[in-house]
Amino acid sequence: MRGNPLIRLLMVIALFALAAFPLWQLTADKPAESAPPAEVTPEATLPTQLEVTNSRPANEFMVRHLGKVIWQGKGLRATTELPLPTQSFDLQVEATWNPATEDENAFRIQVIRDEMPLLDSTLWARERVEDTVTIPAN
Amino acid sequence: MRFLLTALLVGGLSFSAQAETLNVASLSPVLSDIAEKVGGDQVRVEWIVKLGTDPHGFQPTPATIKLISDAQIVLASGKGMEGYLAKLEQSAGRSTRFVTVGDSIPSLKMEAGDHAGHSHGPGEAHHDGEWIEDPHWWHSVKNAKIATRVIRDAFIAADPANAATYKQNAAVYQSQLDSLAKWVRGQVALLPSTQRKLVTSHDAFQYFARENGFTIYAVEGLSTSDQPTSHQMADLIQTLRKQQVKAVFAESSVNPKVVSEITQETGAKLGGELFADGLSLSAPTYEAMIKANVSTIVNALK
Repeated sequence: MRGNPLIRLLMVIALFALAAFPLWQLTADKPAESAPPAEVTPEATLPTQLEVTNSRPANEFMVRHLGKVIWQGKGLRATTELPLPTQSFDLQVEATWNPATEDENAFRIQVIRDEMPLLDSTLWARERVEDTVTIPAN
Repeated sequence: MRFLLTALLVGGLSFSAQAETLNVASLSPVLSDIAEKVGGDQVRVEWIVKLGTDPHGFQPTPATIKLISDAQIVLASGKGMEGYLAKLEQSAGRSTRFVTVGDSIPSLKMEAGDHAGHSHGPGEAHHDGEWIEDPHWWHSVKNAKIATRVIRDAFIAADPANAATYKQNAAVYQSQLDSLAKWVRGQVALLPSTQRKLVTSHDAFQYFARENGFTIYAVEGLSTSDQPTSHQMADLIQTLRKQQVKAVFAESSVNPKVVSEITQETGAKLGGELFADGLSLSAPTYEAMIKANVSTIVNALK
């Protein structure tokens, strides 16, 4: 017995109907879901000692990290401790001597972590030094 | 009669002024700009490769050979950028001196596959996996300083009478390059090292990356000339997600479909257009090109 052709036709239609919904779900045009904007994980930091020594008292010195002033002061010598990245990072440094001197003045910055020197850099100018120093990853 | 004498006098003066000028032809807009800075009024620079022309695609014509033959010095970038250079040297007269500036600059290597879209002229075909010299040395300001010195020395050798002028001009320009390098360091310092990730349409920024602590992810297929496979796209999207890349940078010939897919799948934005192959009409000097590129990169990744 092969069954009634009408019943077979109905069965085929029913099968198509059953398959139609999941197929439609899979292939329908959906509004594109864009990924959320890339969130950047904040950098890990560790307490880091900064030490500034000037050959002549500076009227002002400033240290910036990522464009923000993280330390400022004046005079001959100053020390502070700040949380700074464990990976390589840059510091923008600036110092002024007013009035300008005939000889150049030295601005020395040392970056120390766990008693290990990460950077020891000296910049020279008669009136104003402004530069960027790179501290390698340790 | 008086008119004839005046005309002869003026003509003679202008001829002698022309004869005193050092004729230089340059195959790179970057070198043309530096040559004009170093040469000043003593040098006439013929920009063989004009502003905004892709130096990779440039091929000399008979008119180029005429200009080259008239020049006392020809400046070339080197490192494989001018695949036609040997033939051009053969065509030029013996009085023309070729100065391949890139020969004095330390090389970084790049995989030929990353550079597949570039034409280096006949006989210069590269194969995937082959390591070649990266010709884009001008993205390091330090290298531009070396180029300035090489050009200064070439001018002095060809025209010793004006050595003092060339030395003075080169010193002034090198001081400007020092200020430019300081400005670059200050701008890049605004980015944490974890965000110094450069996704570009071709691997032209290695010299910049090395100097400023960036990692490069070059996207094959981001240009209109080719299409990445679905496998390449999936790999790239996975890498960019993992690396939390904030922006993708393009050149003018960017494939919008590929960029759209990358930005949609990763959440990265289109960071803007970079001048990879030299100067353009909107950045017509070396300094303008460096400032435009660095500003675009830093603003997008901040």
